[in-house]
Amino acid sequence: METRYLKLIVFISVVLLLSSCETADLRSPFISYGQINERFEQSLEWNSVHPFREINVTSDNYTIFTMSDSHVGETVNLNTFINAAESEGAVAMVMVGDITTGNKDDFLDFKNNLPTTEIVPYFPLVGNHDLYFNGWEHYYQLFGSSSYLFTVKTPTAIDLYICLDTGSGTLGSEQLEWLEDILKNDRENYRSCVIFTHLNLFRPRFTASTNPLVEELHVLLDLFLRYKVNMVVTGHDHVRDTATFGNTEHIIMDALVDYNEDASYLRLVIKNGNLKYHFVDL
Amino acid sequence: MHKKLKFQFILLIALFAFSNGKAQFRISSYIDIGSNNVSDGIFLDAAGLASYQFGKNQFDAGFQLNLLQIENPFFSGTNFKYGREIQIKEFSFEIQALFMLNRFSEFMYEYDWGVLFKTEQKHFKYLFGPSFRTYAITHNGIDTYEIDPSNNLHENWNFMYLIAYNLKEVESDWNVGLTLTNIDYFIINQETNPIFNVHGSYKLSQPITLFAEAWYKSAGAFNLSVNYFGFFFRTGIIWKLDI
Repeated sequence: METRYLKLIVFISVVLLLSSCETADLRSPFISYGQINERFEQSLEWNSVHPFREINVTSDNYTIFTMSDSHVGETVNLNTFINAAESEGAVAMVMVGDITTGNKDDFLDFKNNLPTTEIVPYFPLVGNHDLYFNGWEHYYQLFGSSSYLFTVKTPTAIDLYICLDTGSGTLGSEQLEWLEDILKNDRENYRSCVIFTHLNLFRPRFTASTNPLVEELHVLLDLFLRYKVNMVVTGHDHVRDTATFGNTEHIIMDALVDYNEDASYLRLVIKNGNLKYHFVDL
Repeated sequence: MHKKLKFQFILLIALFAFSNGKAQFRISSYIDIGSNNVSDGIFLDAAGLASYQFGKNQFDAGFQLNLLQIENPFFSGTNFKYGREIQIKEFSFEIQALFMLNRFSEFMYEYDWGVLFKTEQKHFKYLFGPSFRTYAITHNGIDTYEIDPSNNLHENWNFMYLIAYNLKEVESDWNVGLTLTNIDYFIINQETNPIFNVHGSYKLSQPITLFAEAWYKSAGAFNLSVNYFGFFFRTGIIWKLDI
């Protein structure tokens, strides 16, 4: 009886592991290519040479376009997103992880489809898929840091946008300390604060994908409340969801990937100091 | 409210009065010491658990204290559980109803309730069942940050599991084993964040057992991008008293 249960558990585990072997890195559930603290050190190194971007706008009203889970490969929806951002005069585009499948060619395809930063500044982050097949190496070569911030300065206010790396399922101790430091010491200098990161924090539905451990979520929720984080924009789950907890709006975006029939991206509209969002279906 | 409490108390007494078989009372206490990606150094928790078994029924209750992290509440958790043993032909199992409160912040807390199905064989123990989680804001948080008091967030149909293997049979004087689970006494993780422990126990005398566990937590495993999260060591004592 016990042997039968054990065999069943092993069988289910093998099936799960092999079920997505074409796009999944089978090594990474056991030994990942790198840990978050190592990546964060590299991101800090990059940040020390490349100062955080301050985007100056002449109006108090502006728009930021953001998307997640494009899983390049295919780039039809990605190009729709980019063209829309350009034509609407977005001040920035944020790509919240799982931009690619981790393969080097996908990173190059993604990069080649991007406009120059003079047209629309872009801010990518890694997701778990971007780390497969040693993808961080390719990401870092092309884009550098995945833990950074940028600001948007209007004639009357400055807004803070923080980009975090949760590709490994956790912020890691050093990135968390960095985030705490920013929120404790700098948050009060900004009108609003939005955090972008790949992993959705809450689980509105049953899925096989994972999120930060509950212990980590406890710490983050406390920080978001204490330091008035207005919005957390995430992806990963592939299905949109919105929730408000405390004074923070938590948004999970749809996957932008071409095969998703419900693909969409998000427009963040800052108007008269108010932060609103709209999903744009493709 | 008083009528409801009165009814529950009478029900409890009735369960005691009409149960047959021996009763067993068990108290245990343990400490956890460890660190993880969010603990900002070492954490130290202590817990006390009590269990009363009479006939086929068992009541459990426990509390947890946070001893080191002064920015978090001292009284950090409590749990209650009721279990009923059921026998169908030669297969025996237990159905448990549980409630857990986790006070992780001065301004927020979490509570979970769920149902567990438990069965044990010679070397294996299995627990499975759904749980339902709610995050809420304390009165202090509501007043300090002017938050709508009805602002809660729910996560429904989380799947709890525990699979434990013991080298020897459960009633042996000593034992070692392994566990894969997403649940602990005062925290229920998402089903996609499995945790591992190695555990051992030693019966000092008939009523007294010492135990020790080493827990390892990783993040990102189900995202196929695993990362270290934390480690802690637990040791404690169990005292069983037959009434």
